Amino acid sequence: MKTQTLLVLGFATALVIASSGCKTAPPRVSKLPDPAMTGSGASTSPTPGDGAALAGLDKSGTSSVDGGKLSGLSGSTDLPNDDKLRDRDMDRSEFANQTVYFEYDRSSVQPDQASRIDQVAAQFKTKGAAFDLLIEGHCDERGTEEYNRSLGERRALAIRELLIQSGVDAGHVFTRSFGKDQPATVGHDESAWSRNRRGEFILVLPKKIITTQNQQ
Amino acid sequence: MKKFLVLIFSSVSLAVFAADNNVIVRINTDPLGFPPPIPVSLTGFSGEVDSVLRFDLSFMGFEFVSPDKARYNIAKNSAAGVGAQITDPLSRQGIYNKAFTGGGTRQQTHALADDIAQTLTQKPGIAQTRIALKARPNDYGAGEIFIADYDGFNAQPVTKDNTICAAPAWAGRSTLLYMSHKLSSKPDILSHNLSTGARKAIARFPGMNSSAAVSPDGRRVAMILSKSGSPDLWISDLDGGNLKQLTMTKEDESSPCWSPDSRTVCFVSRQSGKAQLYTVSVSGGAMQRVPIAGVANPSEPDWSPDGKYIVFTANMGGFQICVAPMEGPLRGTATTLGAGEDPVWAPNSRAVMFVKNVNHRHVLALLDVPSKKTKEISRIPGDASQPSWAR
Repeated sequence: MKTQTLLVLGFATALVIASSGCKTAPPRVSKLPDPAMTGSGASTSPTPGDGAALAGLDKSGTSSVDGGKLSGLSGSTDLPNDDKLRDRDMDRSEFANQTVYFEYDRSSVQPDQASRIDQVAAQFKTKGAAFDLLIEGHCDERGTEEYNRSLGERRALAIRELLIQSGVDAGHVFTRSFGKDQPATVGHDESAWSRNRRGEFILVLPKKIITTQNQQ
Repeated sequence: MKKFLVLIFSSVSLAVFAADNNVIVRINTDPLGFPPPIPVSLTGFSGEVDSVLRFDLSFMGFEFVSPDKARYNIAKNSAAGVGAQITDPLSRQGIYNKAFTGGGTRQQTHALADDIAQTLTQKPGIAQTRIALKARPNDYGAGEIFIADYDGFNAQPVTKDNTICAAPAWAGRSTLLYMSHKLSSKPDILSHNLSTGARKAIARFPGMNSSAAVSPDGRRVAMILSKSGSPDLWISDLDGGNLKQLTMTKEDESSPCWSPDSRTVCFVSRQSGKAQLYTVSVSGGAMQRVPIAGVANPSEPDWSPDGKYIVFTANMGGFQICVAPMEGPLRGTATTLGAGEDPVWAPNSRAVMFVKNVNHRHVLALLDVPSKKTKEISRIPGDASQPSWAR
C-alpha cells in the first residue's frame, strides 16, 4: 500500500516539476490566408471537356523496358497501337450473339464459350483488312474497382489469345476494360452478375473517306 | 510487492495521472499497438466550431469526457476568431492559449484542431488535409474526379470529361494523376496540375493504363499497364520516363501502393489463381507474397505512412476493411474493421478513409482504426468512391 502511494506521488511530483514555469499569457493569434487566395486549382483550371484542347497531349516518353522477354500470353505479343481506332465507327450488332461469359473471379474461357470465339474468328476473317476487332472486358460488381479493371482487361486478353490461335491477325485485335462500370444488367443477384461477367465483340468499321450524309 | 509493480511496468505502458486526489490508471491494451485516445474535455464552444472540433479531434487520437475525467481541459478562450486555452489539470497550469483568425470559421476551427493535435500528441494533424475521389451522378457509367477537404466539404470538380475518369492519386499536393477514357476511349493515365489546370498523358500505351500510385518521395509512379499482353506492374518517373516493368505474369496485377521509403511496391496479383498480396522491389527481382492470415481475397491495399500497417479490402461475400501489420511476428495477420472497401490511410497513420455501400450507393466514410468508429462524409455529390489522401 505504501509503495503504491509513493509511486503515485512520485509521478505527480515529476509532472508538476515538468510543467512548472508555464505562466498564463494572452492568446497568440494566427491569421489564416483568405481561402480565395489559396488557389485550389479546380476553380482556376480550364474546363477540360473539349477534345481539341487535348489534341496536343502526346504519348508518354521513352519506354525502355527492363528485364527479360515477357513470358505472358502468346509469347511476346505487345498489344497493337490503338491510335488506329480513333474516329472509327463501331458496330455492336455484328457479334452481339457471341458475347463470351465468365465464371466469377475467373478470366479463363470456359469450353462451352470457346465456340463463340471460333464463330467470331471465322466471321471476322471474311472481312477485309480495313476492319478491326475490339474486345471489351467487363466484371460484375462483386470485385473492387481497380481489381475489376484489371480483371476485365485480362478477360478481354484471354479472348484475344484464342482469336489469335484461331488465325486472326494479332495486329487487328484490340482490348478495352470497363471494370464494373458498365454492367449489361443492373441488379444485385446472380442473374444480373452472370450477365455482367463478359467479353463483348465490337466490329470496328473501316475509316470513312467520304461522308455520305450530304448526298441526295 | 515491488517485484509485482516492476512486472506491470515492463509489460504494459501506463498513463498515470491524478486529478483532485483521484488516481486514474490507463493501461494500453490495444492489440494493434495504437496509443490509447487522450481523454479531453471541450467547454465553451458551440455550433459549427464545437461540431468541427469534435469531428476533427476524434480522428486524431482524442476522446471526449467530462472535465473531471480529462487529461487536458480545452476551453474556448476570449480571443477573436476561433481559439482555445488548454489546461493541464494535474499541474493546474495553462499549457496552450491560441486563436486563429482570417479565412472562414471552418478553416479557423480546422487550424485550431491541428494545432491542438500537434501540441498534445507531437504529431501533425489531418484537419487541413485534402482528398481526391471519383464521383458519379448515378450508379453506373461516367465518373469524374473531385477534390475536397478531408471532411467532404468544399468539393470541387477536377474533370469534366463526360466519360469514365477514375483512380485519382495525389502527386504532392498540387498535382493529381488519374485514369481517363477521354483520350483514347479506354483507360489512360493523365497528370493534372491543379494550379494551372494543365494536364498531359503520362501513360497512354496500347491496352489498359490505370491504378496510378505515386511514391512517397514524389519521384515515381507505379501503375498497371497491359501493353505487353497482360495487366502487369510497371514504374516510371512522374513524367512517364524511365519506364520499367516489375512483373511479368500471365494473370493480372492491380492496385499498387508504396512503402514509406519508396523502395517497395505492394500490389495484388491473381497469378496463383486467386487474389493475393505481393511486394516487389523497385530495383526488380521476384515478387514476394505477403501471406495474409484470417481473411481471404485481399485487394486495393494501402501502406501506412509510418510503414507499420497495410489496410486493404477483403472480399468474402461482401467487402470488409482489414488492417494487418507489415512488420514483426504478426506480419500479415488481419483484423477486420467493418464493412467497406478501398481504404486509404490518413497522413497520421491512424485514420482511414474508405467507401461504404449504403443501399447500393457508395458513400465515403472516415474510420478511426483503433476504435473502429466511423463517420460518413455525406457532402460529396452522387456516388463517391476511390478516395486518395494528399500527404
